[in-house]
Amino acid sequence: MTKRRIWRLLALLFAFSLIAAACGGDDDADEGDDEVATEATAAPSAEMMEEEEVGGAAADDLEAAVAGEELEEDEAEEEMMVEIGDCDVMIPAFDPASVDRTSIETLFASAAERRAEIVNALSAAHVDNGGNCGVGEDGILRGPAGFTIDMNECPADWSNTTGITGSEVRIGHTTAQSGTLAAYGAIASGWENYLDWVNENDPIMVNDAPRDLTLLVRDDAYVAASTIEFVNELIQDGNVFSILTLGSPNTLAVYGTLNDECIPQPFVMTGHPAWGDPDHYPWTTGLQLSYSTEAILWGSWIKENLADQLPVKVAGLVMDNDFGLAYELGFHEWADRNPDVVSEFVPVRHDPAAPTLTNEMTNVKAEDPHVFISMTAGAPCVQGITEAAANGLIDDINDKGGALFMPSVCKAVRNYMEPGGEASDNWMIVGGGIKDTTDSQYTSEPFIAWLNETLEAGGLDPKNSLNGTGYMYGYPYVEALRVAADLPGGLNRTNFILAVRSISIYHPLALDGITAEMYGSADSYFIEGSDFSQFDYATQTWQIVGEIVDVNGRSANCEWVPGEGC
Amino acid sequence: MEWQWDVLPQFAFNGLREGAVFAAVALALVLIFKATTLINFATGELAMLGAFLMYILNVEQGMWLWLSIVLAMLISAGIGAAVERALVRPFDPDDHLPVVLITLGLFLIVNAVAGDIWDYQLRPVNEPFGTFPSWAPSSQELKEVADGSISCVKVSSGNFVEATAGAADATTCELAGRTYWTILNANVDYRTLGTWVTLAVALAALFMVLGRTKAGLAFRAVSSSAESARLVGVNTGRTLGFGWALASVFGTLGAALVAPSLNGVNPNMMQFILIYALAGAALGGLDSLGGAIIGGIVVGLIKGVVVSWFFVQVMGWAFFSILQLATAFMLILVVLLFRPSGLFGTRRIERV
Repeated sequence: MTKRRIWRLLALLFAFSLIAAACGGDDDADEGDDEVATEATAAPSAEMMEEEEVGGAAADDLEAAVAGEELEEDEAEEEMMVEIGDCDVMIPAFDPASVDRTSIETLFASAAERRAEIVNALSAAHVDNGGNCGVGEDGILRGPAGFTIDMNECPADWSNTTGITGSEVRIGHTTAQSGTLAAYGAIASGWENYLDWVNENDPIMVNDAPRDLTLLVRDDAYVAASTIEFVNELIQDGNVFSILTLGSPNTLAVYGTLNDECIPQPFVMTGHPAWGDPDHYPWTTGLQLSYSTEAILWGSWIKENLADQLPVKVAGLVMDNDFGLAYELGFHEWADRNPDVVSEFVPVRHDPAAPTLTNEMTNVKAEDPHVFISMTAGAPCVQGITEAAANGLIDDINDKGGALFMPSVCKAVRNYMEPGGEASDNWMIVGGGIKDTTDSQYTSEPFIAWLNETLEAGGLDPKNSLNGTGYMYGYPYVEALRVAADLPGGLNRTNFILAVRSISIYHPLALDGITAEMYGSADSYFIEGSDFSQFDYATQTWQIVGEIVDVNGRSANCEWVPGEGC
Repeated sequence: MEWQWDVLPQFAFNGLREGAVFAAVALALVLIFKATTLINFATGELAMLGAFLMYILNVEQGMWLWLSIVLAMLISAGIGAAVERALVRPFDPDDHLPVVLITLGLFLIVNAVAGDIWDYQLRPVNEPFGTFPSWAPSSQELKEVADGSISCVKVSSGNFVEATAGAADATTCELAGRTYWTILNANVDYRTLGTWVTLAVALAALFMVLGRTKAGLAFRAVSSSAESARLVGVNTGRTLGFGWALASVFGTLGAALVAPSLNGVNPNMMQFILIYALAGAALGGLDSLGGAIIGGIVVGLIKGVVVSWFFVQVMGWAFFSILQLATAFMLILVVLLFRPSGLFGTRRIERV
């Protein structure tokens, strides 16, 4: 009997140790991609978070922009017109007024003219024409503003034209088509539909012959371990030219691998600040507003709009992975620097796979915050709204004159706001400067009307905003491919990354006032501006509140250290 | 450490609501375990199928929601019985391994097929307890608003905070009002109250069927001893099918009740709920119907009161908010170490 009790006690101790291990297992997640993947489910300690730094954001510029102050002249922008480093390319400044938006045809014609300007500039400075841009005899790829890649470090079996066959250009894509974030899988459908249109109507030309853009989609269910598996499979057996990933934990899990393998990974579908590290991870870029910038904009809005109530208590519902923690870290950092604005920031984390969020949202309500910020994604976005309504949080915050924020990744009206019902009314968002393709304010614009027509023709539902989001990601990708195809040497991986790092275009799904541009190592974030919008339940639209904020070219690069941050 | 008693009732009500759903699914597990002494890992996926049936009937076909739920439960019963007849009955009932593998296979197949048919997008469902009769408390009143017109005004803590356009008469104003009661400083929404009442009615019906009908008597006999039941003329095969049908009914009910909290139906909706329900069934005793109900509710309360209130709110251990499942299993492990058959399960005694 005594022996049995001892066994039971041992079993109990073992179980407690399991719990303890689960709670404190993040201390040594530091090096290598596998550790990064593991870190996705671990909760960093407050001490660790304080040591980390957020990347991507230009806090002072953003705050000044939100306050309506004139920004000081940007030296980086001026430098675009002068020689920088070895690659002395001068990309002509883009003038949004030059875009003819009267019809889809004129819009595409304007896009072609802009591409020609970029191609001409890059071609004139290309190594094939005696310049320094591109891969030199020393094996160094040089791009604008000091952007370099040592191609000698690429694998011995690496090829510049892998994935380009006689009939197609193969692009690998990992995404979530099942699991909690399955709704984002629709982005791949929209992306693919856009490629189908391109293939049929205006194909990419390689050596004067059309090539179909083929998307090889793998469903990783938002599980980073699966992303690693699929990316390895795509590299080894997929014969892919480039790879596109969705999700912060997933993209971080293969960040090192794809850069070590010298495989282009531009315009990833996540806003983690880590994608702004052209010096150490040159093959990867983001597209959307960085989460850390978004976090600063939340703070800046509070500072400007709740001035008579400061300092305020802020609570956040945080998805417990790299994605949610990037938001948490970004806002934590800003709140620490602004104690006169935020008296206390209370993040309530939730398991990404939690079926319901009733208890977590009750924890949020128990904190009695002035401002609530949802720092989650997918289905939990809607649950955040409905639970806030059910437990009275919305009423409490409205009573205080506070505010409730949705994250930019939950902007899709049909997917995340409409299911929230009347409770979704008046929620604020730092919208990332992107138009929702179902928003009636924009549906008559030539590009969005055309987009919705082609979605319908492709058998996709135009009312699903995330199908339209596929075009948002696909458009600059194809533009960069077209530029690369017209450069000396034609379409290959080095020309493609050169084109991506030099891109400066009109993005038809970006709001007016938002610049879509990168410039080598000087400007590594594509979109660095945003709208502040408020949801109107009656019209099912996001109504822009105040001015558009854009700090293009002013975000500091992120020197990404796995397990530590920027 | 600060005891925050004022928020405890809210966490308790949350736990009771979630627990009611876990109890319904745990009941589905126990009904099959009692009949066959095996765990049906496809319980959650069959329940998800039932929820999709409800969705099709109500949202796509426009049928009255409650009729859709009842019809979905009946169709699920047929599916459950058919699965038992086609995939379980052909196997030796004493050899559990093949049948367990079949239920695992069924879990994967149903999930994959549902994903293929309906994809994994969240499909919003209607709220069965959203609008209550006019005597229910409302937080909206008819008031004269700024432009002089009469409109529906949202009232909160005695302050008129928002005018809602378009609501012009008392009925619509009250129906559009608050959907929760305030009890002990906690907001108990109608969904919670409705879930409890629905589960109570369903349980009363279940115990009536099991206690007052021939089929129920046969089920109890087979559950007690299949061999003895067969010897006294009970058609054990048909009775086991009846058990699977009942289990599918309760699984579907659980899925239908939880769907609004998940903001809709999707093929993965029941996967984690099944784990919590399994924990509840193990806690209560895998062969005890009452145990399943109590076990499910206790698991809900562990999530709400022990983890979210005590550990997170009182102790301030924020990281516990992502350890709800682990903590539930931890406490259950403690119980099972000392009572291996669960709180209410039959203790197995072997004579030597």
